[in-house]
Amino acid sequence: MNPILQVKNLSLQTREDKRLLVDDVSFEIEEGESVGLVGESGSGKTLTALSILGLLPAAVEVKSGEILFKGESISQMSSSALQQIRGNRISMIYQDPMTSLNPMMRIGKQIQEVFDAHEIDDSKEKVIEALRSVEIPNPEEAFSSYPHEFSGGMRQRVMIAMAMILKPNLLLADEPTTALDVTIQKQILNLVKRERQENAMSLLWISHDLGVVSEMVEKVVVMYAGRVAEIGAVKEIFQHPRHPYTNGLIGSIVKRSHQERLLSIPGIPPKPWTIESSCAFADRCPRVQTDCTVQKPAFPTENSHSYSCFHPEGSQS
Amino acid sequence: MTKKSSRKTWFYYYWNSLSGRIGLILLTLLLLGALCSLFHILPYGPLAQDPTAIIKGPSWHHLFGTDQFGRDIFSRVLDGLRRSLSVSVVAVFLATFLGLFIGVTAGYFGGFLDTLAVRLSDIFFAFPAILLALAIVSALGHTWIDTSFAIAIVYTPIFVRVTRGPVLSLKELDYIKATKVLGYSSSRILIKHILPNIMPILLVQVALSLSWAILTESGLSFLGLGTQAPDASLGLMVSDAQSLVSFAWWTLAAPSLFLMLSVVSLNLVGDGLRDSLDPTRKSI
Amino acid sequence: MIAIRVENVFKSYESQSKDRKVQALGGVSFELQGGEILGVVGESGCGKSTLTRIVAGLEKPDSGAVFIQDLPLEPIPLFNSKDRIRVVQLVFQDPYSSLNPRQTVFQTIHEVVKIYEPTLTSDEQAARVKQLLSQVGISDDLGSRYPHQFSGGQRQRICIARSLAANPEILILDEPVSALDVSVRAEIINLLLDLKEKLNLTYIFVSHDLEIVKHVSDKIVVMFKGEIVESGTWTEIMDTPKNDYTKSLIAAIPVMNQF
Repeated sequence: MNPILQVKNLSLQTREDKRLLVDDVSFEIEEGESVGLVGESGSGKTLTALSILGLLPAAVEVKSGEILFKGESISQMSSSALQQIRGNRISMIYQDPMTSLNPMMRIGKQIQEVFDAHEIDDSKEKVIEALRSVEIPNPEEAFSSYPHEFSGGMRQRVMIAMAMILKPNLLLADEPTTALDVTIQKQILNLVKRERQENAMSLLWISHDLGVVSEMVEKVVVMYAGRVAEIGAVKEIFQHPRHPYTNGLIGSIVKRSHQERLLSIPGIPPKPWTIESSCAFADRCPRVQTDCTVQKPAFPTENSHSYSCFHPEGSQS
Repeated sequence: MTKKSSRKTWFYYYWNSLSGRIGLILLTLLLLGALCSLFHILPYGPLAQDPTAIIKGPSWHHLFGTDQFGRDIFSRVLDGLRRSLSVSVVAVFLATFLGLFIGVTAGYFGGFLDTLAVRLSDIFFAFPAILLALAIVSALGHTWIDTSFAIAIVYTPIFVRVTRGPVLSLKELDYIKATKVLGYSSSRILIKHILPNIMPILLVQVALSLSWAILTESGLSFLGLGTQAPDASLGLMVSDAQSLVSFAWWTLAAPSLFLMLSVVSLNLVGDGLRDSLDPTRKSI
Repeated sequence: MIAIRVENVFKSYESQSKDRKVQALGGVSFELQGGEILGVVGESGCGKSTLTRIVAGLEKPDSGAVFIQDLPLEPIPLFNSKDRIRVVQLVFQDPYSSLNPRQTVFQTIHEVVKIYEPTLTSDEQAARVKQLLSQVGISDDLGSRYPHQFSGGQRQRICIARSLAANPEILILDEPVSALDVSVRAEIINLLLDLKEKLNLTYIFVSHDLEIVKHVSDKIVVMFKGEIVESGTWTEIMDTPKNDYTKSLIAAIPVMNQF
């Protein structure tokens, strides 16, 4: 199979004091595959996603590694070359529907801008058709409306319309439903699933919500403290998590009997730059041994189920 | 009640700001000068006339020369500085307390009192500060207390506005709501929870107001409505210098220089305070 | 013993943009026994936040009544002349804005203890503060730190300790874990369950997350557009929901149990 996206040994650091934020992250997305990037705050998942499109904040830079899109390196690409790809071949939708749209511009015009930016004929009909396909009622009216006239769920649909309008090969979704009510979330998830199918699009879904991820993706990449902890098919990850962090994460969510105490992971994730020579999870791991505190376990390569741990779940000791 | 750790970082940020550093050093020097006047450690008495040394340029005997009465300009300038600073400090002190009290209670309790406070402040704002001060001083009198009062009244509305704004947003914060649910008295909430959290903004405004107050006081003296002759005052000296400046430039240069330094140093201190509030912003 | 009785509460607000009144609560009624956990679940705009504010006394209902242990609830006056004891306490959603940034953790809790347990000597008060903090898993030596030096989960624990310092009968928890990381939520939920047992508290647990509410609550009320559309025990609601909205809420939960 052809991977449409390859992240190879990507490391990110702060520009000013060179603090490591993301450490040697590698994973692939096959053509047509949907992959979930899962992690909590400080895991580096958002930064990793932003670096795919060269959208890192000014304070962060790429330390090493590369990103390949359809075999071509995009991490070294110039800004103008990347412009061709953004919105066109790779699109992104974001978490906060309140701030992702320009409040001063009508919806229709904002979507037309996507066409203009890529020098494609921007017909009003195409835009209205796009609005219709994301199930916005009265698309003709919506065309001339402003973002503040819409609810969060509707705005998210507009964002999806904008992201999908040039039929990208890959969609990056950074927690797009976290701020939405659960019934609206369900609608948006179904919408994205449908768009994916209709356009044979690959998907990178970034979230901390394992439940949502389990519905949307085929493969899961679990990140912790800037590193990849585990990669595997979604079923494998949920049924046989090997990394103790993944295990703890799933254990803290899957509900046991009523009011029974949940599994928790005491402590907080370390900052990526403070764990140079140990496993990231060592100080919170129930299975920790001496070797975990003095060496970094090898990071997952692209096997079907790989993890970064000296003493994974299911092994002895 | 130890706040050591937070005070250390606050000053660290303050000192980190170039503006703040320069401002503080300058201000300290000026304050020392004013103190000299307070303790009468001046080269000459500010009122002492020397008929043998009339309109002499700057020299080792008279650092900034003498005026038409043979009075040492340097001593007079320091004396004038002291006067300006005392008037300003008292005025801003009064304005701060009054403005704080009105602003915080109006902002916190809202309602009719708040509307009243805002409308009254708006009326005061409609007038240029110096005009208002003029009017009040004409009514009250020329002693330095009257001048302080006049300036205090003029600047109170600024403090009302500067304190009311933050209070309006603060009172919506969860930790203030928490104090209410805990049953705290209103005075406890205002004094222990609201006030400490507007202190930084308040201090910046105090520094700025001091600089404006010095200008206002000088303006009033310049117009003859503040300090009266033969007492020294920066504004008055500038006014006197008008007729002398063409042949005795130092009579104008000295008071103007010190006036400018006072205002600039206080503004820089204000910048430094603002930087220490929000270290991510940089002035210089 | 009926800990809380809410009778037919209505509350409307002036809407700034539309020049008319928006009804946040339209005739809400329910009862809660002492020692029970009531889960209030609903999506944005359903009125659950308004309900928490009214039961905590931060706002007065337009009509209807709230009884705490058969006594009418006294709303918090705008001008409060002295420190008063309140038996209903509230833990807020956002741990980043619910602590005074200019007070150390010790000072924050101590202030409550001074008011609610005035008969203790100052040494006893200090000991009580330490006890409250350790009860929520915050160690002794961290008392002299400021809120910004703690993580979100730790701050939420401190807020819980602050509420408990008031020896409340009833604790309202307004989305207490929504702003926290997933792995931290479990700890806080466990802590809340432990404390409830230990101190025999009554909880109103408000959340938009039906999974959490289902796990924690004895009884559940489902809110939609200012009304309670369904109420019952947690098993009744989850296994045999009757209202369509309740059913759609349940259906919207991402299915993880397929594995």
